[in-house]
Amino acid sequence: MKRSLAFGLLFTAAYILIFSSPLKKEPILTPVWVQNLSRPTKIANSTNGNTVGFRIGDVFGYATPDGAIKYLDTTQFNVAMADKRFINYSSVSKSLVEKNTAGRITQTIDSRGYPIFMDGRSFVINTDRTALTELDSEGSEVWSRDFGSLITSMDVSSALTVVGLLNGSVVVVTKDGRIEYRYTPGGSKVSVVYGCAISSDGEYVALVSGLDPQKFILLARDKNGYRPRMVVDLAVPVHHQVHLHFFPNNPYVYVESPGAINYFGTDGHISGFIPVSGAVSTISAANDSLVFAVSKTAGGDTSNAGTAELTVFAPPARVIARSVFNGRRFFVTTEGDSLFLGADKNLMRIDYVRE
Amino acid sequence: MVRYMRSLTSAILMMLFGLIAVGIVGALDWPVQKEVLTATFGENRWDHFHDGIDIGGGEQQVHPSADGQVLFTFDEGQDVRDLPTGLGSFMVLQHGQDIRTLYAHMKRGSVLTNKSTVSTGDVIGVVGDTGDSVGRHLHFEVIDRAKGEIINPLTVLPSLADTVNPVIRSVSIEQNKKITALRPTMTVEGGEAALVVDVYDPSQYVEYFDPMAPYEIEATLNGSELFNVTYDALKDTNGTAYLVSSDHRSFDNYYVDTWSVRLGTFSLATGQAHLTVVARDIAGNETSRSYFLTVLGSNSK
Repeated sequence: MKRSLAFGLLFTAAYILIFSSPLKKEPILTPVWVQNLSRPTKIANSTNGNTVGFRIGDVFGYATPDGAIKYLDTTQFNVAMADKRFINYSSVSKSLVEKNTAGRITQTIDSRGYPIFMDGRSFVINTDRTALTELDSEGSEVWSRDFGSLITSMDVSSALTVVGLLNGSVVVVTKDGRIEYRYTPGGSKVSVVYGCAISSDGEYVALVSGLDPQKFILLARDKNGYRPRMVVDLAVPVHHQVHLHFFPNNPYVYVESPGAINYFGTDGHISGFIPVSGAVSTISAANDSLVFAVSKTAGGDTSNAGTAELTVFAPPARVIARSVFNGRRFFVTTEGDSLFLGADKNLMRIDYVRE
Repeated sequence: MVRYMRSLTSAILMMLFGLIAVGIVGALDWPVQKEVLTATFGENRWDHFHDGIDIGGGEQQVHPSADGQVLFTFDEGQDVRDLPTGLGSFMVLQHGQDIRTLYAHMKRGSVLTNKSTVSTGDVIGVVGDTGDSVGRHLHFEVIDRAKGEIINPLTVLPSLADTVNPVIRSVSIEQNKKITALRPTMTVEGGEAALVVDVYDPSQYVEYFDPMAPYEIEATLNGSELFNVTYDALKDTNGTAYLVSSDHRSFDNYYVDTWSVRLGTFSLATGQAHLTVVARDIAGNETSRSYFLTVLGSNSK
């Protein structure tokens, strides 16, 4: 008995010595600057240099890393933003005016649709949201396709576009507009796709589909296109667009859900959730895989007061920090080791370092 | 008498289609109390067919057309990350296995989002002017998933009083890219010709800035049917929407300009020809034009 106990302790000690890894350094968040967008105190004079695009509700613009505001405006109907250009457009329009981050017109595109910028690619979605057109940098059509059903969601990689449809299908389109793969999940009484995402290398497509039950489905690429790798019934069904996220250097796909962020491993085996307060309103991941999510905890559009919670976690679900702050409209993005956080009329930069 | 019989047949066919459609769809009711029709199915919407109807009547409550399941909701401005849409705040309901109804341009913040099933007594939103809208109205669509078609809601909703006839502004033939407006009697060249009709249906209720599309356009040549296009349903084939009854005419092939439609191509043989064009609305009101043509030998090369 004593001998087996000693052997057990020895084995445990050996295991810890050989297989344990050091605890990862915890990040320390350090506020750098805050800009009140109602009265910006620092305006960028140069038209060059790096900028970070931000959108907080109806307010959008570009700021330099040191906190100078390069461009600031309010949206007309909506705004499509990319790193170096944006289109602020009205709901009823025959043309789209593209501007650079200094607000200078770079081109005008004849279109009645609405622009979408994703991962360096440009699209126009028709106003009925059934058709998609990809444009090149000159604003000329690369491909155009009517899907014959309402587009509920879309995502892109550098080479592929994935489109979720109200008719229950998800379609993967190549860069020349050819349908490479079409999938209509079964197993639910009602067929509809609520959200879809594609990994940056195009190896995985994730979707939320159906009602009774609502399912999360992970598709992995194979020689025939894609095949289901993971199918999970979701406990809390939703009836609106669902946002799913693949992040760089992160082998999980994250699915927003009321009161939680669900995660699923691309290996098809791991799943779980990170509880959050309220519904996620913005989420971003840093290069080192830290994920920053802001969820609205209280207050609505008509409320004067509102609060939100910033949740910082390391993949898949190790919560590192939570912080509650005030606001009704939020924005978060990461750039290098900096976090840019927006709440109503305030934009702030917070640097994080691993200690 | 022949014309009367044709009208009667057409009216019976329309009633039959309505009955069949109602049978398929189940009993759909108007989604608002004040039913002011301001746009019809199949109208020219610059680059596509209008795939529903528009109902004015001011700010009023929107009810489900039938009991159903909430399928999809979108409230404009709620989540800036959502895909943009000209439908504004909208909701899609599922009725039974195959029928879906869509309610668009509702007022921001009014869309019912906390229920998974609804009945006709529920309020699912308020008529607004969100999205690609130039006035307060409800855009209403009916989708038949079994047939893969978007169907004309007027064929399945209770009928509206309407005593105003459609208007045929002109009838033309297009030969070798030359368009000739027809007069009641005239001489034309023989050969292949496309028949172009400029037609609309005035509103019974309001002085709307745009007139509406009719429900049916029929053309006969010497008593035989040339074309019969009804605005019953749209179907998507390979990424292009077609009016189902129009022999696969896409929007680009069908609309010549705002109210002019190209019904199809036919052959004008040398001699006398009697061309008749009839336009009807969903209530059966009709307007016709007759042309007695002297057709000369074909000049086509």
